[in-house]
Order: sequence, then C-alpha cells, then structure tokens
Amino acid sequence: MGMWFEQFDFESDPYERLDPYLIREKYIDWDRPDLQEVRHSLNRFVENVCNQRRVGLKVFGPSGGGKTWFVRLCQKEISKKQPTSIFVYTKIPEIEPTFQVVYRIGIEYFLDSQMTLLIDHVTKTKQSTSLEAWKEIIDDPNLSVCFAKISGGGEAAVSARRWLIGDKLSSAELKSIEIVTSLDSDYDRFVTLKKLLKQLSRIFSTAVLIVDELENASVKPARQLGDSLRDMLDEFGERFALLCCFTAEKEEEWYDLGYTEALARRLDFTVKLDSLKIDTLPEFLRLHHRLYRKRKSEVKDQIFPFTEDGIRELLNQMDPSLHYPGYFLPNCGELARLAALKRLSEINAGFVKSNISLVPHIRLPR
Amino acid sequence: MAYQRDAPIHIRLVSQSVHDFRLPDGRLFSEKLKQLVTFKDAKITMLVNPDKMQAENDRELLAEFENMGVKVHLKKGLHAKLVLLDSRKDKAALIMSANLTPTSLWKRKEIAVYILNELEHVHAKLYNYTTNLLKEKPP
Repeated sequence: MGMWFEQFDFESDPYERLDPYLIREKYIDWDRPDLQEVRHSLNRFVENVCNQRRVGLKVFGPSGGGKTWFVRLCQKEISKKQPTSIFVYTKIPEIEPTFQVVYRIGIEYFLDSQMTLLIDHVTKTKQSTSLEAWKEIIDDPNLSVCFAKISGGGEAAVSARRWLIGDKLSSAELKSIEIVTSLDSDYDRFVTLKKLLKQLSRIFSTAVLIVDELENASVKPARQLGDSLRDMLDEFGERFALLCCFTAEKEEEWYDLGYTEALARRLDFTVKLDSLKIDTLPEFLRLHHRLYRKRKSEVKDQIFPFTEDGIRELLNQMDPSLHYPGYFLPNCGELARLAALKRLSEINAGFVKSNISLVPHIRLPR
Repeated sequence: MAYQRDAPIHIRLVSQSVHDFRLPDGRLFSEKLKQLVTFKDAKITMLVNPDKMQAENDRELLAEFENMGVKVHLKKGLHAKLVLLDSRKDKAALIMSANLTPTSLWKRKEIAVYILNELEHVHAKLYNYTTNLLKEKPP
C-alpha cells in the first residue's frame, strides 16, 4: 500500500511541515501569483546579482509568511542563471543570539555545502590541492593554510575546521595546522568572514551572504551586527549580495529591532510577503501542487483533490492572522490525509466545514 | 483589554523612566509584559531615557525586559510618555504626562488621553514620531 498522498497523484507530500532548508530544491518554485511586485523585485535582485553588482535585499513578513522559502527561491534562481555563485547562509538563533554563533552557523553552512565547490575550483585550475596551489588561489595566509588542511583530510582537517568555525584551539592543535592564533574575539571572526567573502567573490562570480531571523537579536547586538553588515557591504564595489530576513508586520519594525537607517539605505530592495488572498488562492495551490505531482499524472486540474470552494472555505475559517502558506498548507495537509483515509477524491466546502475542528491552525496559538 | 485578543500585537512604550509596579489586577507590570510576549505573541519596543535609568535596579529591570524579548532602546533627552498599540484589529494610543513608574501612576496628579480605533491620522503621526526616535543614533 502506498503513501496517502499517492492517492492524489502526488510523488511526495506537498504539505509536509519542514524547515524550508530541508525541502528538496525541485519543490521550491514561485507559487504566489498575488505578489506580482515581490516577483518583480526578486527578478531585479537576481538580475543584479547575476550582473555581478553589489546589491542588498531585505525581506520581511509574519511567521509562516514564506521568508525562508523566498530566500531559497533566490538561491535557486541565482544558481540557475549564474552557476558559479556561492552562498553563505546564517541566522540569528533565538537560543543564543550572539555574533559568535551567527558566525559559526555561516561557516558551518559554507563548509558543509559550498566548500566542495571551492575544492573543485582549486583542483580544476591547479590540478592539485597542495598548500602551494591553495596559496595561489587564496590571497590570505591563514585561510589558504586552513583550506589546504581541510582538503587534505585527517586530524589536521578537523583542527582546521574547528579553527575556522571559531573554536578555541590548544597551542599544540594550532601548531598542527600551522596557524598562530585562534579566532577567539568577535572582531577576529568578523574580519575572517569578511576576508572569506572577499576571496569567494574574487574566485566565483558572486558571493551571497544570507542572514536570516534578524529579529532574534536584542537591540545592542542588533545594532552592532547591522553596523558590521553595513561595513561588509561597503567593502565590496561589486560581486557581493546581502540578503536579510526578519519577522515583522511593517517595514518600520526594522528600527524597533535595532537596525539602522544606514544599513537600510544600502539594501536596494525591500520585499514584504503579504497574506494569501482569497481570489488568487486556487492559483497558489495549483502552482504549489504542480511541483509535487507525479510525472505521469493525468490530473485535469492541479487543485485536485481540493475544490476551489473547499480551499476558500478553509481560508475563511482561519484567523486572518494565519492567512499565510506556513499555516494554510499544513491545514490542507490535515484535510487531505483525512480524505485519503476515507478514500474520498474531492475535498469540497462541505467536507472542510464538517472536519474543520481537526485542522491545527485555525486560531493563533495561545 | 483589547490587545489580548488581537495578536499579532505590536506595542511601543515610551517613557523617561520605567519602574516595576502593580497593576490594578495585582500583577506586576513586568509580569504582564512577560505574559504578553510569551503567550500573546506580542512584540514590545521600549524607549527610555538612559540618564533616568542609572540606578542598579533600573539597569536590572531593563536587562530583565531584554531577556524576555522586549526591544529596549536608550534615547538621551527623551521626555515623551506614550503607549502605542498596533494590531490588525485595533490601533490605540495613550498619550500621557506620567512616566511608567508607580510614583507617576499612583501618587502624582497626571493626565492622559486614550484613543482607541479613532483619529487614525493621530495614531499614524505618533507611530511616525516613534519610528523617527528609533532611527536616531544611540548615545
């Protein structure tokens, strides 16, 4: 017996509640016909990045609004048009909103998902990953040694990785990787991040720094981080993009969070992810379903198994504060699972009305 | 109160100084803020005058607010007193002569004007005024 979603001709669960960074890239695509201005800003931002300009964008909206989805879509579209772009993604975690952790998340992301591109580049251009080869490519003594050790593997690679993410190393460990000091101050980490991005932007067509969840820092660290990001932008005349995300209802909340006018002015584009609209809701769901549909599906209307009146009824039953994809799609998922269990092939307004008590996001959590 | 059913709520509290005090329901002001942030999904921004918040317990109270997620901004020369509420359903403003301290609120003769879902242009001007305060560079 197959999975419940196969009954509806989906190859995968289209309503799965996952961190957008865990969703497979092929399922990330534009599905908001109601946000034409956002689409326009996205196109212009991607165009600027691909033309190797220095460019900044800030995106905001309430939780569940699709900010991280938007960031991944930017990444996907940039990579498609400019495959030699490189990304460093980080976020301000709620649990420990310090620059040390922000730096660590960014470097770990780079090492885990982008480092192979850098190794491939060195191997391709120098036919070797020796220290000499790295020194010719990376114009910084510590970073070139660190990358040479990482690409060489073994215990030195572990120590080099730990050095780069900002762990405190013993003098014996530092000696083993031929680096003199640990990155044990925020200033050292910031300078290293800046150097890394500089090197990446020189080697690849563009380096894109993404900073998510800006709202988690308190005012003073937010101001410091904002100043650092401004400083970072000013270092680059070209080949660098900064993408900032924060949870807010209004653009002015940027200042409540502690970020400055000076940084806001340097971010060329501002994108607000608005709530889902009843008129364009069927088209939104069709576009979303299309990505998950089985390749050989003969479904006539991509809204299947829902009907237009079914999804409109669902949205009407939901608190307006929750009219966002992050709440609407899981609600669709609950209803679709139930319909699959009952072997129904249509989720209409009547079905929604009689099962509305089973969906999780109707009112704001209290 | 209106804002409790109104999430997402955004509140801006502007006061020269802020001390903890008991509300008419017996709860401490700090407890009420914590409840709003934790259970009502409220976003709270507080603007205070650092020159009026120099005592050890003042700094501790501000640190407590920050720990609960309140965005605390220090604005030198701040003398305004205002509570501004912004949610999808309600817009309210409390423009007053009193600081958010027990002395101001319970002992002195103060005055306030409360606007709820009317005079939208006044609310907008107050919102812009506080946004401009937030834009100013810190001391």
